[in-house]
Amino acid sequence: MDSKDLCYLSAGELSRLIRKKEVSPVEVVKAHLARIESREPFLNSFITLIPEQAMEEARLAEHEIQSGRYRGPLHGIPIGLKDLFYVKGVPNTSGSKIFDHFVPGYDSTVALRLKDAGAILVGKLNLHQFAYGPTGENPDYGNMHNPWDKERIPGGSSGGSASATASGQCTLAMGTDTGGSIRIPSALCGLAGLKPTYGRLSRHGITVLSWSQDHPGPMARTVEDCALVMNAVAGYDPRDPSSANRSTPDFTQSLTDNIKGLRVGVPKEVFEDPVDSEVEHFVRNAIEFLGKLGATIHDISWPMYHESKAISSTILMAEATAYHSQLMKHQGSRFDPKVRLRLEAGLLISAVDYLQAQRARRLFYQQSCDLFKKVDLLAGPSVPITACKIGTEEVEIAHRRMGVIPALTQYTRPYNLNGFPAITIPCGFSKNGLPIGFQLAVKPFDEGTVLRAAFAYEQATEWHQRKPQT
Amino acid sequence: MEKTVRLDKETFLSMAKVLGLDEEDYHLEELFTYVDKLFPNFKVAEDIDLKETEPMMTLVLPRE
Repeated sequence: MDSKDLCYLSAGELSRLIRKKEVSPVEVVKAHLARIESREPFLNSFITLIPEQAMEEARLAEHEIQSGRYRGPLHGIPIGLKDLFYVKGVPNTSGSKIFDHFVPGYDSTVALRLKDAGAILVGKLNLHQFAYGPTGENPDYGNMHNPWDKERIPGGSSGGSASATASGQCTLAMGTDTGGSIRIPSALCGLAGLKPTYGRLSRHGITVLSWSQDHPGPMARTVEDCALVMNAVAGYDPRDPSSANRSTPDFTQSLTDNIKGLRVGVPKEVFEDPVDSEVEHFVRNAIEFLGKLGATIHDISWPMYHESKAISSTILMAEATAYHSQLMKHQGSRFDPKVRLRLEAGLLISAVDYLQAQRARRLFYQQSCDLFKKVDLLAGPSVPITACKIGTEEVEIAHRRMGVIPALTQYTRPYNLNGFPAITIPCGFSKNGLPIGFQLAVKPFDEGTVLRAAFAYEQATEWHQRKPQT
Repeated sequence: MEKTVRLDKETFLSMAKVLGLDEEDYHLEELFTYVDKLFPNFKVAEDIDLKETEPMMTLVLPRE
């Protein structure tokens, strides 16, 4: 097996080879570091690389495995973390030069749990500054590029996580999702990206964007890999005040191809939003295909769906501005001007606006729970367009001109507002070879069902097996 | 979702002053254009019947 082949194996496949001692973590990490050296000049996925540390950990992993101390399926697997997950001793910029020299003195819970599982960190991944934007453009550390077409955005804010994973620079990555920042770049780069239930994964040690809507989660090339990461990182953490104190299942147990009888709801409001015709075609095909696999498809209505995006955005903007207020006051001129504009706009949201939005959020949450009395899953597009060119400010979708931010986030925001788990998986490619994702969502703490449906679809299709040429 | 609520420039400038945004700063005009577009979003809940609905905010008391 050549070095590039190793870089395109999933964590599931690699771990089976590592466990049988057919490949060693040293070989695997070396292959990925070589891949990074060749792809990074074009993709700019990383802010910080730690090759020496990664090799040292690979040698340790190899020694442990040879000595019979195999830690589990992530042992020896090269990973990347979005550069807002604190890792002790490794710089954490949050995508801003203001924090170029900030080195955390402790690990985020997610980083610590991945380390305990034996995963090997190769570097910290580029992101939209402070995770505040869905395109993956960053004036401080350079724009990230989509491996399927490097003139195009990878999506954001976890753009480096998506481009690195899709191009085989790491086997999987962690992102965060406040308005779609895992699902948007995963969809635009052809990955599986899971935003778990709010509270399922600890936010401890992760730079905040919006306390009540930030969700860490895995980005990978297969659904199985998302489940493997969930097994390593999910679970109660007393250091996160919103952490859910409940039992954590074995998420890989859900990976069966049997979805007979699952009720899939398609909210009519979702397709009232402007959507590119190619995207709509592939997403509708994917929904129909779930029907062929044994699910039943139901047209439903989600009355507050359209309002949910403005409610979510108001809460996000107010919380982001509150979090960054001191930094803005003292170092505002050092922010990305577009991020600064959004943060300053948040100052114009009154306390009453914020509280009214939080009241509306409760109604939306209740309405979302009611939907799941009728269906087991909700389905629709992840993003209404394929990746646009870097620097695009407005897009035309179905003869309607829209800002690129509301366009990219229109399908993802509702699940940040209600905190329900949602996954994107690839379901097609446009005529110009760009990935299209479709989104499945379930009720709180029912990640098993969303992984099961996504896995069944993935196993019955070949979209996830395509690799970018670049 | 068609909202008519707008933020007039005079109100914006007074608010900006109170909030400590520099009136001389060239980007106030850009900020006004941006906020003007978003302002209806901030008020979206005004059209929703919220009676007897409490905000979705959690107070988690320490267990000790």
